[in-house]
Amino acid sequence: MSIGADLLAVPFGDMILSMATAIAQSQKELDKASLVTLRELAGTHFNFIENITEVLVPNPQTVDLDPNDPSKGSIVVTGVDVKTTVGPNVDLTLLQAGLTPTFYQFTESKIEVKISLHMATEASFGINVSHDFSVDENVGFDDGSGFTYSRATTWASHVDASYAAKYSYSADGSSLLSTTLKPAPPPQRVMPRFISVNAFFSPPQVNISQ
Amino acid sequence: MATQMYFIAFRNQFNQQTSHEIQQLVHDSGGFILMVTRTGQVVVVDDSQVPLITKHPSVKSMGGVTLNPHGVAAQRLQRIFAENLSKQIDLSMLQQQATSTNRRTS
Repeated sequence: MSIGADLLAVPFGDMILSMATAIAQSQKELDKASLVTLRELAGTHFNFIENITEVLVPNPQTVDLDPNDPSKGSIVVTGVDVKTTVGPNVDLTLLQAGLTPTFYQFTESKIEVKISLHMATEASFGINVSHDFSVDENVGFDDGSGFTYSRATTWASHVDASYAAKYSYSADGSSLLSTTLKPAPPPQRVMPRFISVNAFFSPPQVNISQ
Repeated sequence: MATQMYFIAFRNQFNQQTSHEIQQLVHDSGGFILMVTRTGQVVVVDDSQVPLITKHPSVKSMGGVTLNPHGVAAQRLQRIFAENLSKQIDLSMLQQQATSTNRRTS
């Protein structure tokens, strides 16, 4: 199998599609959870006392120098009277008060595919040559009439050739899918705009907050 | 993991015992209670503890919240949170930690 075929075998399209689908589904679920929290915050009421006014009023006190002897006179000490006025309760929700749900967003996604290919060829060639050489000589007399001599030579050669080739091929692959999740500001159209009008003042004070 | 502010909504009507149970659960998870209302609680807890808390049968939902500084009563909420937090943090322990850190650095 060639390297190109290996690379083509990696399902890039499927991987990207799966990851994108998973991110989209997760984002949907996260947004749903944030909207549930938004609803809960909008349904949680509490009494908000906007103003507590404390007015310090001078309240001088006359103290006798000797309670048993009024003839010794008296002094006037500075006294203070605190008049507290609690403003009207305002029914607020936690959302109005300033608690907003956290929205999350997938800011970055990354697909990394790594393939490492290893190819190795190993060849070996060997020749084994062996020679055998032998000589037999016989000298003798046959029934007294003559001299005999014979010589036999033997030559043998062995040639052994061998060839071996070994091919190895391996492909390793690894893939990394990573994504980053970060808190994001709430969508503009999801969050209500609060317009509070304070009619205690003249002209009424208007405060717009989001 | 990060510590975040969450709103825990109760499943049923307000019940003192349930509220205490959830507060205790948050405390045992290393978190702090910032505010308690009749429908839920605002807490600070580590992300990793959220699945444990949401398993409580009286917890309807638990979602991350952020304090909007432009809110009508944002400053008041911040003060309430700070007051409640100060009651739960052992300041003497923090002081000891700071002292030991100073000793180590000097």
